[in-house]
Amino acid sequence: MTLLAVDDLSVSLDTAQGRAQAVRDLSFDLGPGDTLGIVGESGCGKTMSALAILGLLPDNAVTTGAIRLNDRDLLNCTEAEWCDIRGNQIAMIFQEPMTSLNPVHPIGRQIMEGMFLHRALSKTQALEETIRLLETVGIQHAAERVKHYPHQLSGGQRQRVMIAIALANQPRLLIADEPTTAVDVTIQKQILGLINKLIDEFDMGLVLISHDLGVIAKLVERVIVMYGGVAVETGSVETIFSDPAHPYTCGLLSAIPRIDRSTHSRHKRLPTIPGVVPDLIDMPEGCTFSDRCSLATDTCRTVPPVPVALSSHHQVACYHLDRARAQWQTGP
Amino acid sequence: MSDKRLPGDALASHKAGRTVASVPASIWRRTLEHRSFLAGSILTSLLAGMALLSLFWTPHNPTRINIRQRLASPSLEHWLGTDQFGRDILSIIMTGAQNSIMVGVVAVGIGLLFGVMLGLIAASAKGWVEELIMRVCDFMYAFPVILLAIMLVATLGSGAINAILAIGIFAIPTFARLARASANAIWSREFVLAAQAAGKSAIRITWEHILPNIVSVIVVQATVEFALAVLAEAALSYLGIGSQPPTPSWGRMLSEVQTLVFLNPWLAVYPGAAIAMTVLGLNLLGDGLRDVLDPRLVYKR
Amino acid sequence: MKFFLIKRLGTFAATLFAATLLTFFALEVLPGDPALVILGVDAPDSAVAALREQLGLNRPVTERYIDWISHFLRGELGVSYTYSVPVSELLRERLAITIPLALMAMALSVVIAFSLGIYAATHHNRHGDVLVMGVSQLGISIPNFWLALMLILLFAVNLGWFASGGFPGWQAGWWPALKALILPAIALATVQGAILARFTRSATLETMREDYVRTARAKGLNRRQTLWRHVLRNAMISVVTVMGLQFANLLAGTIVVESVFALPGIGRLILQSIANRDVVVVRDIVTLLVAMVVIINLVVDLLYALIDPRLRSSDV
Repeated sequence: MTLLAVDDLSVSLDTAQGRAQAVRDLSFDLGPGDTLGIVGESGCGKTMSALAILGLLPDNAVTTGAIRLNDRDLLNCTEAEWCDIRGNQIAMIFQEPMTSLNPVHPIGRQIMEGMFLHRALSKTQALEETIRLLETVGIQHAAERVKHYPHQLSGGQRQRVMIAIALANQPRLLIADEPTTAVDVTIQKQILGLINKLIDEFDMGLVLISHDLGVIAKLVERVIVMYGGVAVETGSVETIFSDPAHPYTCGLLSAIPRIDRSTHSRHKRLPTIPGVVPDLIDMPEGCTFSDRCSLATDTCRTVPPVPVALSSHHQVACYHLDRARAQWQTGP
Repeated sequence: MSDKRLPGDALASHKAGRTVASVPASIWRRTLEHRSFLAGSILTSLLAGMALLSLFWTPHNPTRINIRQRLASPSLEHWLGTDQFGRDILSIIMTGAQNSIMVGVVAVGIGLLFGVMLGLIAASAKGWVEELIMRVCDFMYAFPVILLAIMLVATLGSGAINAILAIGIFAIPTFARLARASANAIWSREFVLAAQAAGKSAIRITWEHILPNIVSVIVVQATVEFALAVLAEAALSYLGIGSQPPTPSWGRMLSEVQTLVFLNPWLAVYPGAAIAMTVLGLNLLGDGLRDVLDPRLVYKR
Repeated sequence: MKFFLIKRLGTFAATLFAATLLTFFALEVLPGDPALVILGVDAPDSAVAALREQLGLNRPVTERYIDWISHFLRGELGVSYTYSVPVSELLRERLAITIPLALMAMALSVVIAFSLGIYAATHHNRHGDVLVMGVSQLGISIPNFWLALMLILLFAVNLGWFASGGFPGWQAGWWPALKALILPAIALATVQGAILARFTRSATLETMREDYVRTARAKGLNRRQTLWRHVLRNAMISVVTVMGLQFANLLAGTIVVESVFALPGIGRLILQSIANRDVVVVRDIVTLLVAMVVIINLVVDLLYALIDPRLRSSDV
């Protein structure tokens, strides 16, 4: 039984400069209660993938492939059907808690709004539920807080309110897009703990989007590494961290400061991946990573590599797996 | 914070809709914007050309009265006909362009000179000086241009100069606010901080770094203010507190023919259309310039 | 809220005070001698001196200012030189035309601006948007008094639906009186509406890009619900500011348009007073109009507090 099935999802955007291929042939399955992380640099297509699942892509986006929620094809949904699904079966937490709440409405009203939209509740029922929900996400004095406006709350509290909005109708699937990027480190830890607790409690599927491998490691079982709109490597969290195969994943991992590696690299600078994320309009013909990859050959640059299964839950799209892994094991 | 929009950045931001517009519509829009610049340039050059030509030649003497020819219909001799005194309307309209341009240039000149100066002082001095200048500017908004003109005329008597002065004074706070806002944005840039660190004086920094960087914004605003000045002058002349006879003025033409619109409606159409075309041309030019000069940086407060 | 109110009321009082100072000094102290202005430059010196005495121009400036302002605040305006009646009496009849006209024009321009602006914003970059923007560009460029003339030509001269000018007075019944104000109001509102429509459009567009609008969509609200519940109220915050600032221009426009329609309002009075060199009337009307502008802006500030809770709370 799969909750969410994404098949060959491609998203392109028509821009004044040309067509930008934001997501290319993305596929994954997610069972109920499963957790998946999508990791990559900004502009790699991870947010576009999330917005596609929620049907909130900008008007100039063209989507192909299939997104199925409980075997229902979402891409063929009408706008009214989408509205029925959003906030009800799929909910999303956004990156910026400071600006994601409407400044002119009290937070209680903003949480209840979603409840009224999808369920027949009386005002008192909704209020009671909202207060309970606020307590669940760790807001104290919730009965008072419902009347407060966003500007009266701290960034961490606002993100908790955002989570409460997302949970208002107990969705089956939660998408969290960089939920902790805009808050400071201690709050980050609390928020991640809260999300972790809630997905267990509500038995939701989670798609977590982050550029931060540390955040990903704390919350999810499975990881998709995206680069230039393409899933370059997919695997369990353990596999990705201990046995990365794609040169890009290796690069990402070696860019994280690690205590266990510091012995032989104490005097070396933390490595970075040379170059910048390629222009989505003017992508390399072959592997999207080829113009930044030290192992790239002519084949890499002209023919896109097909994902290869290394084990039942580890897939990589690269021609030079062995060299990449060898290089990783000897240390960058 | 870069003002260059890389497609990658656009996608990374959740607000992709803001930066990425769909192809056909955006191309259409861009040509249209380009077109508005073109249309604005044409209309404005037409006005300038007409004024220039009227300095040397008009079909008839615009002030010569010829009662026998009064209220003549358009003919080969009088393309737009004649008014109640038998004066050639085309000639008056052409000469009237001089008046509009003169008023626009002088009034915008006053507003620009004092406004930009005040704005630059406010931005470089900061503190209570800035506060004071800006409060005074806020205060000036309570005096619409017509009230200013009325006060000046009540004190000094009627005359074109008072009207121009009023329009110029009215434009000062707008220029001051714009100059201050734009200058403040430049003051916080690295190269200005570097110049400050190098010990350059505020005046020198303003002259060398701030002013060149805000010129384009000021030029765009000046175009729009020019249009407002033409409108205001027409209104004041219509009310009889602007340019005085015998100087041909579009606004006064309208007030002179007002009682005749029942007889000959076209008399009221020409001067009004001349004003509207001029203002439209200047507004379009301003919009076009805004895109061409692209002072996006400073507009984005 | 309290702090915000006190601050706004303070600014309000300071602006009014400064406005009275400016009007008074501009009209009485600056170069022109009112006596000379009234009598004309050719008047004999003795007559000028007598009039100066009569007007109290020989008293110290501050004394005259205090005298004027204390009377003004009590509603005792001066006595007109030309009409020989108290200015307050003159004003009462005239305001009964100008204020309804300004309010009608304001209301009409808001209706035009909101419907066109919101329509254009929701059809961003499509034909409707381009059309609305083109029409509003034209609307901004047309002088309101010329539009007034054209309206007279069309609706009064050709179609005969309205009178071409004049005012029957409110005693003639509210409909004939209101009818006389319709064309003037349209002339005023078209230009104002065009300006406001552009602001409404850009404010709405800007708000539609806010993160909280996306949050609302993610909750399952459709576009229409999102627009009404989340976009418009926030967009109004900046539109209301512009409306307040535009009110000054609207009042100024009233002066001109009243002239076109021969409406005996404040505008006509002030123009006649200038022609008659009636400085007392000019001074009081200018002060009154400026006070109206300042009061409207105060109302706008208070409206803010109603729309934006950030200004209402005590911790701001």
